[in-house]
Parts: sequence; C-alpha cells; structure tokens
Amino acid sequence: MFRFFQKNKQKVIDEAVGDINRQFEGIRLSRSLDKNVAIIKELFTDVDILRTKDIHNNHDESLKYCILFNDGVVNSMMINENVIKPLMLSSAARPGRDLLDTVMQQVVQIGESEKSDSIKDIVEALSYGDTILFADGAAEALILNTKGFTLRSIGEPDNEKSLSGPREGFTEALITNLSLIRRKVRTHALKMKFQSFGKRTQTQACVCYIDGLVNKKILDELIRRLATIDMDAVLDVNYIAEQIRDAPHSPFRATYYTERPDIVIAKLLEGRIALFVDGSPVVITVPYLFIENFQSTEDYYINYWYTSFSRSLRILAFLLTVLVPAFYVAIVAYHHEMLPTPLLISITKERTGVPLPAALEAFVMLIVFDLLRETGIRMPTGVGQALSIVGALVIGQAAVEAKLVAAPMIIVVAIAGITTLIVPKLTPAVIPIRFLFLLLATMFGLYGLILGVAAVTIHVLNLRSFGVPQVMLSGRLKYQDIKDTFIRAPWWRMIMRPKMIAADRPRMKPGGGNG
Amino acid sequence: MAKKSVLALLALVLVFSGGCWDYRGLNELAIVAGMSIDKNPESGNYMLVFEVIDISGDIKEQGLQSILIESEGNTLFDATRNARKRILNKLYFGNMQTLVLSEELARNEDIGGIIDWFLRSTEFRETLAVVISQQKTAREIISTEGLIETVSSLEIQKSAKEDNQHTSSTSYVELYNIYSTLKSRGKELTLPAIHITTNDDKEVTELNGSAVFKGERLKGYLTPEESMYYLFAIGEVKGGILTIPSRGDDKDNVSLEIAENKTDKSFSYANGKVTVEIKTDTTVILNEIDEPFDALDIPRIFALEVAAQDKLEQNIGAVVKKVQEEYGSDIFGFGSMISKRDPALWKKLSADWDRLFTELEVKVKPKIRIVNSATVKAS
Repeated sequence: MFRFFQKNKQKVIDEAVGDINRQFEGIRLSRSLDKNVAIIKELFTDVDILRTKDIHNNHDESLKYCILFNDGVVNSMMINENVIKPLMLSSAARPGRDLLDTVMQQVVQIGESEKSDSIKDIVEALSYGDTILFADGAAEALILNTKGFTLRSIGEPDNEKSLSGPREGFTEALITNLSLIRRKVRTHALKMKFQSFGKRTQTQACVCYIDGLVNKKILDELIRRLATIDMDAVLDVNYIAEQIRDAPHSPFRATYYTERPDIVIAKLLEGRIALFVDGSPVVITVPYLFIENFQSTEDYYINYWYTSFSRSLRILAFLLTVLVPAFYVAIVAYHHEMLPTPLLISITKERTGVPLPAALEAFVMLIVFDLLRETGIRMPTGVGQALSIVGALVIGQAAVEAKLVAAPMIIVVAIAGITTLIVPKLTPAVIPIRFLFLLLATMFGLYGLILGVAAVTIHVLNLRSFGVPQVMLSGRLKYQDIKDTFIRAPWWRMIMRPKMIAADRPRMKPGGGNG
Repeated sequence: MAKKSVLALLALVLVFSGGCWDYRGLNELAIVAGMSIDKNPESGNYMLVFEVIDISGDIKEQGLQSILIESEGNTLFDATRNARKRILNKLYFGNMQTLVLSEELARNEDIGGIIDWFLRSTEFRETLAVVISQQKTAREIISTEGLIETVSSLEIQKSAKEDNQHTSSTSYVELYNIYSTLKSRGKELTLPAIHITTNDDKEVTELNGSAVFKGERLKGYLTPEESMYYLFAIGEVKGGILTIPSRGDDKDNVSLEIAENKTDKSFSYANGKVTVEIKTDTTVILNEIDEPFDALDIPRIFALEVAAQDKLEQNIGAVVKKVQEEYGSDIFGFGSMISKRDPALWKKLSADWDRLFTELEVKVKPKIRIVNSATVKAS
C-alpha cells in the first residue's frame, strides 16, 4: 500500500516538474517585432512591472526596435543613456540579416550583451534585470545586462563578530560576494564556476576554488553531487548544503558556513571548495572536518597561546553541555556513593521537598531553557528586557524559593545552557544528544550514559565529508597533526595544509619565522 | 518501512521496560555518617546506633547536625532493618565514614565476623574507618559531638586518617585492609583506639593510641607515644613531633618535626633464633629549642642528631619488647617480611611463629638528619 502511494506521488511530481519545462516548448520567435513583443507580454501577463518601449531610429524610419525590462531591477540611467539614445541616434545600423550583430557591436553601449532565440533564456534574463531588445525583422533578441537593484551594503556580520581582523561580511548579491574574494586573491588560479539551481527561481550559484590547491577528487565529487540536485526553488545555501552532505540524517554539520570573506579565503587556501548562492549571505565550504566546529573567526588573528586556550575551552564546553545534565542525574539517582559526603549532604538538603524526581526535573528545566533560548532568538529586540527578567528571576530564583526546582539543578541547566552557546556550530547536534544522554542516564545511570557516549563517539568517528573522514584517528599523535586542532600552533609552524585535504602542498618552506 | 517502525517501537519498549531499576531519589535516603556496635549484655543482641545526617535544619546557620537512631537485633543486618521501624527513609550507607566497636565486643568476639557484613553488603565504602572505643560502650563515642564537625563520625574518620601526618599517635587501617591483615599470616591487626576526654568543660572524643589484636581478638593498647614508635617500626610515620633533651638531662626541650621517614627491615636466622634489624632514616626539621642555637654549628647539630637517634633506638626497642612480652602479637609484620623474602624458611618457622616472635631479638639502627632550622636573630 505504501508503495502504491509512493508511485502515485512520484507521478504527480514528475508532471508538475514537466510543466515548468514544457511551458516554452513550441514557442518560437518570428521576424515580426510585434509578434515577438506579444509573446513576451503574454508570458508576463499580470506582471505589471514589465515595461516596454518602442524605439525608432532617427536616420532610418524603417528601423524599429522594442526594449523590454522589469522596472526596479534595472539601472534606468543606463538604459536611457546606453541603449535608447544610441538606438535613436546611431546611423550605423542598416536593415538586413546582420542587423542585430551590428546593433550589438556598434550601437548599444553595454558591456555584457548576447544574442539569443531561446525563450527560456530571455525570460530568465528579463526577470533578473536584463533588458531585452527586439528588432523588426530579426528572429532573435539581444539580452543586455542592465542589472541594477538596491542591495544591502557590506557590513560586519552580526553573528560572526570579531574583535580583531577584517570586518567585511557577505551580502545577498552573488557578484558582490565574489568581488570580496576576487579582490584578495589576485591570481588566475582562483576559479569561479557558475551553475544555476531551481526550476522556478533559477538561482545562480558559484563553485569557487583555487586551482593547484584543490583536491580534484573532492571537486569532482562536489560537482557530481550538485548535478543531482533537482528542485523547484533555492532560496538559501542551506537548500543545497542539505542535499549534497554526507550522512544526511546526522545532526552534526557536514559543511562549514560563514558570512565572512576572510574565512572563505582561508578555507580556499587550505584546499577547500566554496559554494556561493545568490540571495544568501552565507557561503558554505567543503570538505568539513569535525574540528572546524570549534574553530572560530579570530583564532588566526590573535596570539596563539590565547587561541589554544580558548580552543580547549570550546572542546570542554561541548563535552560539558552534552554530559553535565545526564551525569548529574545519573549520580543523583543511581550513584550516590560517587559524591563526596559534604556535597551529598548539601544536594540532599536542596532536594528535600522538591516535588519532581531529579530526572524529570532535568527534562523540564532543559526544555524551559530551550524555550528561553528560542524566544531570545525569535522575539523582537525591543522586548529583550522582559525575557531576561522572566528568565533570570522567575525561572531561576522564584522557582528555587518556591521549592519547585532544586538549586543544583538550576546550576546544572545553566552550565549546560551557557556552554551550548560557546559552540554555535554544534547547537543542532547538542540538543538531541543532550536529551538522548539524559534519557539513557535516567534509565540506566552511568552505564547508560557511557553506552550513549560510545554510540555518539562511533557516529562521529564515522562521519565523512566528501570522502574525507571528519575525525582522523591515527595510531600515534604527531605534532604536525594537532597543529590546528585543540591548540593552534604559531603561523610559522603551520607548514602543511590540512592532512586529508591538501597535505602534499605545503604552505611554506620549513624553518621559517624568526622563532 | 512499516516493519522498521514497528521494530524501532519494540526496541523503545525494551528501553522503557527497564523502568529506572535501582533509581533512588536522594530525598528518600537517610545518610548514615557513622555507626556504633555494642552488645546487649542480657540478651546477647547487637545494639546499633546510627548517626544520621539531619538535613531538616539550616546547615548554613547551625552547621551540620545529626540525629541518633538506635536499634537492636539478632544479627547486624537484622538490627539495621529494625531501624526502619523508626525512620521513614532508607538508611543509606554509601557515604558512611566511621564504625565504632566497643572494647568489650572486640575482646570477646571475632572481629572478622563483625566486619564480614560490612564487606559483603554492597553499599559500604571499603575505606571506612574502624575504631575501638575505650569507653564502656561504643555508643558514648558516637553520641559525643565533634569539636569542628558537629557530626562526630565525620570528625573521627578525618582525624584518624590524617593522624600519621600530624601526630602519629594511632595506626589507621581501612576496612578492606583489616580483612586482608586478618587473613594474612605473619602480621597482626592494630586499630585506632578512641576515648572521651574533657575539653573546655565539654566531653570530646580523642584518639588515644592503638588497639592491638592477636588473631581476631583485642589484646590491649599502645599509648599514643608508643604508637608513634610503632609507626616508625612499620614505616608509616609521615609527620609528628619528636622531642629530645639537649642539656644532657632527661627533660626534653627540643622539638623536631618529622618531615620524611623511611624504614628498612631485614632479618637473619641462626641457631633457631630470629634477629630482626630495623633501620630508620628520618629527615627532621628543628622547630623549637629553648636555648641559644646556632644553625651553622655543625658539631652541635650532630650532637642533637645523636640524641634523637638514641631516643628513637630506645623507644622503638621498648615498644617491640612491650608487644613481645605483653601481647605476643606480631603487629610489626616480621613474619610476613620473612614469608616474602624467604618463603622456604617461613614454611619451617610459621608453625612455631608465636613463640619465635616473643623470643626474637630486635636491633634498631636509626638515622636522623636535621635538614632545616629557622634562624632567629636579634635585629
């Protein structure tokens, strides 16, 4: 029965997708200007921002043109000065077979223009801010790049602020984003390959890498996976990231994401590949190593002692955030003898009179914390004050004083909650794992917790990103392998690029630096 | 798909059917800090007193308080269960620190039989301190308030455990070691002895030397001072004060603080007689002297060292002699030393070890090194 539904569903999907592609079949441009314009107008019925303008040449009355563009996504100054004006005034064009070529080469003053007779291309271009030029007697159209839309200016990304280092951030425009990269890597080896996704949205995406550093196998794999994507609309880079990742059901990340050009460049220089998607300020890079969860923006811009310390803190924070509630419940419910006597006494004292058992209390409090966290993200910034009052006073103090919740539990939940925020890249993984561990600890005590830890460890060790293991377990610990993990070695010591990605292309000659 | 989800559901049922086995809420427990064991002279029943932490009071203001729960029963476990008739919560022994045995019990019953339950039951810590009450009953000890920790069990365990670092006045043995000592040949058991004394018009407990066992029964005691020399002999001294005379009379007027001690024992066997040599090598700090003293005066320091060595030699010898004569119990582990170093010989000697021990000759060779002394200068 299931199979029947699936088959039926597939059929419906195929039909719908086919509709999108079939729309333009059978439509051909003709030599008649009026007919061509009518075709486009027909397609853009009820699109009231479509503008058309008929143009006649001053020297030769028989030369008739029509331009079409969408208002608001074009640069009107450019259309006036570089398209309409020359078309009216130029005496270069003559009616005939190569009229459009002449217009393109000698009349319109637009840097990027091409000839096309594909309705699909024309519709796409028109929607994206290009101007379509039809000439009477030509069965083709000129596509003129007159894009011009209002965009957010380049600013520092709000959720990736850094104290030192560059303060640029990507915006929603693909070309602007690429320019931020282009400007800093002045070599022809920086490759940018366009590809469009989404049958309805026709979103431009760009695969970016540095030739000579990139691992060809990984690049081929990425391109193969991108080719399999078949969807209606792509509005953000995550639409694609989720479809090309390894282990699609894992809560752990398989692609790096950032809004900072400096990070993308650093990743490119490590031999990674970046994927830009138009309309999204977030850029993903692959392959992804597990340690990238703990790497942060300014790790490379400040003193390496400090960085090494904060890296270790972040790893500790991850362990704390998933383990602390489960560990506390396991100890309090099953393994009292592990507590030192004074601690046992004070926890017991706090727990007397509290209605819920410790395990249930932990579940409730963690959910309350997640509620607060989610509210903090979703609410309008104006009411932030109210949340902190409710969060800190009501949930914390009042609940303890009313003996609804034991004070140690508040501390445990606070530790778990705060440490989640230190490793934002792991938040999607942390929340389910924390609850899993808590459940196991509630059922089986430390025994269950250890089983859970083992299961998650095995899962993490099995994670791959484009054929590269996210965690490398080597038999012995070598200094070279840990230089950019829980410590960060000084720059002059990081001679090699990441082992699994571009190990055979060193950054510098060994023995550099003055140290 | 359907099969898979059914399987997953079944697996989930398995998880939940465990049903929090052994889940014990902390608030359902009565935390026992220590207990005492006496014997009812009439019925022969065990009389237990549990010192249970009182969590109802305000710990911040009044400090930790405890309540005493008494019970009686045919066996220890029986008596413990009988206590449940008086207290709602389950007695929880996982953090129990001290077990006080009455002197009478230790003299008349096998101690191995008493601690058997403590080892066999899963809850007890194997590191808990077992002490012998020198009062009439063990109950008196546990019902006396401690000076710093009002819960006396906590105070007794802590002071007994750390004693060899500060005063070396008793020999602390953890529960699991008691059993292994009892079962091993060639080493007899000693336990801390404790009595009640007055301090600022209040009754307080005080460590009072060591209780000497022979086999499983209590034989007698070593005074706190004798205990220190006993600890020297077995190499367990980690601290404490050695006082010696410096003027040639009998009055001790110099304090040497023991910083480090190493004891080496060796033996020789000839003509059916065992001779044991005890070599101690002790580093001390000169801490107090009531007359002018020059720290750079080497002969003077040397003289002090010799005085200390003399004192050590005499007193260690005296302790060994006392134990040989009065108790005949090899608490020094001479027998076990022989069994380790010369098993063949030990096989021959073990049958007659009780006699051989009382007759063996002990040579003490102490070495004292004064390494540190404060300089006191008039400025």
